[in-house]
Formats: sequence, structure tokens, C-alpha cells
Amino acid sequence: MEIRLVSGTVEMLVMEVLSAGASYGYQIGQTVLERSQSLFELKEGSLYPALHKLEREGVLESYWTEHDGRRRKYYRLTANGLKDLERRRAEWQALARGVNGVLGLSGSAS
Amino acid sequence: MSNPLIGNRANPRPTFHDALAAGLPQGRDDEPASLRQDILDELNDHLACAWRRELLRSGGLANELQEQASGQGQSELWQRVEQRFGDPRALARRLWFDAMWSRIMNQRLQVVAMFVLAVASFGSVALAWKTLAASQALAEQSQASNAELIKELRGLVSRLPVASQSPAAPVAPVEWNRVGIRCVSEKAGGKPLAGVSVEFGGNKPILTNADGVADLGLMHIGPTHLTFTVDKRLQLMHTIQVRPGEDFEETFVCPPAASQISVSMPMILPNGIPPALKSRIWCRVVIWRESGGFDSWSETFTKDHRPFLTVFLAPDGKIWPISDPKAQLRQQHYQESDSGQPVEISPRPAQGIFAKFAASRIELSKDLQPVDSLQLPQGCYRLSYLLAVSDDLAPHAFFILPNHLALSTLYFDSTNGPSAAAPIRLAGSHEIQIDDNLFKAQWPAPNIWKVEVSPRELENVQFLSTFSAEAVPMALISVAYQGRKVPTLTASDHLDFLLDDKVILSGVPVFSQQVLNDIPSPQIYLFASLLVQEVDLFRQIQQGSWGASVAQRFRVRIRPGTTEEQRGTLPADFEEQLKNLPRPPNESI
Repeated sequence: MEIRLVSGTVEMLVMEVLSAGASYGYQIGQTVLERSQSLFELKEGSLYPALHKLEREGVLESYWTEHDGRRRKYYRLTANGLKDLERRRAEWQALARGVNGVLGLSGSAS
Repeated sequence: MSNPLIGNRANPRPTFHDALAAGLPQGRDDEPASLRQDILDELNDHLACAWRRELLRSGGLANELQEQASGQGQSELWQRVEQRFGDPRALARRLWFDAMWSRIMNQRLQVVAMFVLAVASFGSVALAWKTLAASQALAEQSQASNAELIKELRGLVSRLPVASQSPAAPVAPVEWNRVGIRCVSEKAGGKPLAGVSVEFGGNKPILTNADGVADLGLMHIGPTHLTFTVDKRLQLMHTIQVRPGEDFEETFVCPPAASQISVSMPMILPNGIPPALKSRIWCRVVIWRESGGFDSWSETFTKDHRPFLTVFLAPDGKIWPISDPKAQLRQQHYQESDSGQPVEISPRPAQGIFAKFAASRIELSKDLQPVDSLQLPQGCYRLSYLLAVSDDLAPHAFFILPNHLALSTLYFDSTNGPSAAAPIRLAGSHEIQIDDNLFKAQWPAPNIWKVEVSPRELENVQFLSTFSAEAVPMALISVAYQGRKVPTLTASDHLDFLLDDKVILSGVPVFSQQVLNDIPSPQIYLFASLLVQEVDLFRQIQQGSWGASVAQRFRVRIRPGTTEEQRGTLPADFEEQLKNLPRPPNESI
């Protein structure tokens, strides 16, 4: 089943993954795929632009490491990114409650 | 995207840099140094991970080298990677553009702004060029028109008669004509009179020369008013008519100077006046020099053209000539030293009633400089006078003529008979109109002006204090303390009472100021004249000069022709209040 994510959801998922620790692009995509039980597969064409956008906004910061002869770019949340994630979580929960309420799924929303 | 590993078999690890770099735009000068490499490395890492994943899925790392040897197998793996990833070169290009977006847009905006500026500059230059061209065309057109006009004028001049080309002959003035005045003395054909001032139109006066002629220059046709003055004693106002095309010349006969006549002014009082009252009666007389009117010679009263003279008359016939008391009043003021005396008047008149002025030492009979008669030029005079009775409590007097009283106006003829040289002498009158009664003055002889005072008039003036005022409701107030003699003086437009260094002020707009120098008690008697209808008085006791005060208010009502007494009593705790008033350091009551 192909799921079309709501605008801004990719960024929230990326931030959620990075809230557990620093990671790099490929691993972030795989983590989302695993946590969503293969429901969400972040396309690279949307993953990397989102990462770069969040970095320019100061939500993320990056650093480079060496791995298997290649340079690898790791991302992690900044302090502002952590606050922003909390805000996005709250907004998502409110949205989910509302949608679930409309759909008669209130019990499973929380 | 073709298989990035083809042709790279020597490298056991896959690399996608070249394939990704092909998707990036050309380098820019403002591009960050690491941007391009960072994008390539990051995507290369991702692709390497994806390649490894697909490799694992296809049989494990053990077969990697074997698979790598197979170009067919590599192509299949890459197709799967690309299928999941999408176009890596397009993503690399997008990431580069995202990073460079703000810089590119700024550069584009700068380019657009420069373009707009260039267009605007070009437009301004073009507009200026166009305006300049239009101005040049207009100037050229104007020059051409001027040249054409000059050419036409030259043609006209050349066609004029030869005679008109000679220097122009003076044109006889039509509207402006020369005016000359000739003055002779006493009679037609008399001696030329030099130094006669002729004034017109506010211009600087022109004096007649030794031939008695004053050249007034060119004057416009029509009437012109001239004023002649001879020796500052005779004046004539005359109107001449300047006619078109005619010079004006006329001879004026100036009368001789009037003789100086000695005039005495005895005061004739009714019989039965007690001697004590008679000695206190004073008369202030204003002597007006009558003018002969327009177009007639008239004598000015004094050399400084003052039309009147003010004198004081005493019952014994003494005369005190003073200058204009109103003019004096505006200029003079009185000052008292810190110690309370002497009181000075400034400016002190050279000859006046206050020759040796001191508030506590004034004595009219000694301080004034009386004369027995006045020297007046022959002529006609009009006299106004005011009678007053001096007050024993205030031994000096100052009189101002109240116009509203409209007392008598007397006409005297001091010519000793008609003078052939004097152009106009008015007939004299010696009637005195007071209210509804007409009184006659007695004239024992010419040049003796007798001021006859009727009992009725004296009755009216007996309530006059030593002070008179110019108009109601100015108060005429004398101040006394328990009948004691109080030195007083006049000056201000409000009433000030001084008790040593304590000032009692009145809010009434009075003419008089009275100073009490040594009053042992704060109790004061106030007397007001018949001129005052109603007076609001309040006493304000000030300590020193810095304004602390104790005030008390009371009202005085006065009916004309009577005098009323208002006794004011200061508060019982007056002395206590005085002591409690704030005062500057080192000062005590």
C-alpha cells in the first residue's frame, strides 16, 4: 500500500528518528521503514532535501565521519530541533485525535 | 543513468562520484568550496549502502567479486538501486540548487536592479537631451525673431525725417512744474525774509535764502499743502494750486513777531472766606495759545511749539509756572531709600514745584518758585482752570486737570488792543460756566487775568483733598493718623501705604501714592474725595520686599459733594502676624 504522507510529516519522522541519536541518510530511511513496518519508505528524493532544509533552519546539525573508505554525513537534533519536535508531536497528536474522532476511532488515537 | 561501475573494475568498491557530478550545474564563484563535494559524498554513501543492500539480497557478499566480474549482474543490481532511489543526478542537482537558492536569487535581483537603474539613467539622459535640444531650438527661434525685429526697427528709423535724428529738444513739463516761494517781512514789497521754513508732504523743510526765496523744485499738478514757520513763533498753513504747464511763484508776507506782554493773574475770591481757608485755595490754570486757523498766520506759544502752559495760582497772586503736568507725570517716579528718606523725584524738573523735594520737608511757599507775572507773546489765549484746597495734613499739592469736570474756559485778550500786524485776534470772554450757573470774571485792566471764584465753586472744591485725579474712579485719598501731620507724595497708579518697612497696598487704581513714614499705631484714617463713587480698599501688609503678607479688605462708599470717613482697623493679632511673617536672614521687625 502506497501511503502519501501529509506535508511536513517527512521532516517530523526524520526528527523523530534523530531524537534517538545521530544518524545518516540511508540509516534514517531504513529506520523509518522498519518502525513503520515497511509502511513508510522515505524516497531519497524527499529525504535528503528535507535533511538539508532542516539543517539550514538550524533544526539539525551535521558532522562528517569516515566509514569504509567513504565520507559519511551524520545528522543530529539541535536544542531548538528538540523543542520543535515536541511541538510537532503535540500538533500531530491533536491532528490524530481529531481525525480519529471523525472516523470513530477515538479509542485508538491516544 | 548508466551503470556507474562500468569501466571501473579495478576498484573493488563502487563509487558514484563521476555519475553524480555529471548532474551538477557548472561551478559558481560564490559557491561554497565544500558544497559540491559534500553533496557528492553524501549521495555516494547512500548509493553505496543501497548497492550493498541489493548485493546482499542477490546472494551475499561472497558472491560480490564474482558478481562484479559479471557486467550483466552489475547492471541488474544498479537498475534495482536506481529504481528505488530515483535519478541520483537529479537529486544532486536539486540539493545544489536548494543550497544555492538564496545566493542565486540575490544575484538575479541585483542584475534586475542594475538593469532598471540603467534604464532609468538612460531615460533621464534622453529626457535631458531632448529638453536641451528644445531649448536650443527655442533660443534660435528667439534670436531669429529679435534679429527680424531689429531689422524692422532700423528700417523705420531710416524712414524718419532727418530733423528728428538730431538731439531731442527739452520737452516742456506738463504735469510737473517748478514751485518757488518768496517771503517778505511785514508788508508787500517788504524786506526779503531769510530762514523761513517751508514744509510740505512730510519732506524735510526748505529754508528761504537771503533773497527770501525757497525753491521747492518740481511739483505735480494739483493742490499742495505748505506749512510756513517763522522763527518758530509764527505758523501759516496754506494750500497752493499747481497748474499744468505753469510754474508757480508766490510771495508771502510774514507778520512781525508779537511783543512779549507781561500778564499777571490775581485770584479774586468771594468775600467772607475765612482767612485760614483762603490761604489754602489754589488754582491750576492751563493757558492755551489760540491758533488763527487754517490759511492764517498764528503764533506758537513757545519756541518748541508747545501750545499750552500750565501755572499754579495762589490767592496772593503768586504764579508758579510749570511744564506740562501730564507729561511730567508719565516720566516721573519716586524712590525711597532703604532708610525711608529722602524721597527723590526723577527726573527732577529744572523749574517746578518740587525744587527741593523731600517727602517730610515739602513746603509749598518755600519750595515752589513763584513769580508775579508771566511773559507771554501777544495773542489770544484760552484758559482752563481747576481750583483746589490744600490740606494741612499734606502740605504740598499737585493738580491735574480733570477734563470730565468741564470747568470754566476763559478767553483773554492780551494784545493791549488790536494790533495792525497781528492778523487775527479773537474776542475775549470772561464768563465761567459751572454746572447751570454762569459766573463772570472781573477784568480791572488788560493783561491782568483775574480768576473769580464763586462761593458755589468753592463749595464744590472744598472737599478736594490735596490730590485730584484725572477720571473717576481714581481715588483721591489722604491718609492721616489721628489728626497728625503725615508726609505724603503722589506718583503711582496704585496706592501704597508704607509703615516703616511694612507696606500697606491698595488695589484701587488710584492716582495718588501716600507714604506714611512714622506711624506708631497700625490704626489709619482714610478720607476720600468727592470724585470717588465707591472704592474697594484692602490693606495688605507686606513684610519687607519678599511678599509675605497679611491682608484685610473693606469698602468705602463716597457720594459726590461729600466726604466720608472710613476707619479701618487692623486685625487684633496684627502684631503677632507681623512677627510670624517669614523674613530673610539677619532681618528683624
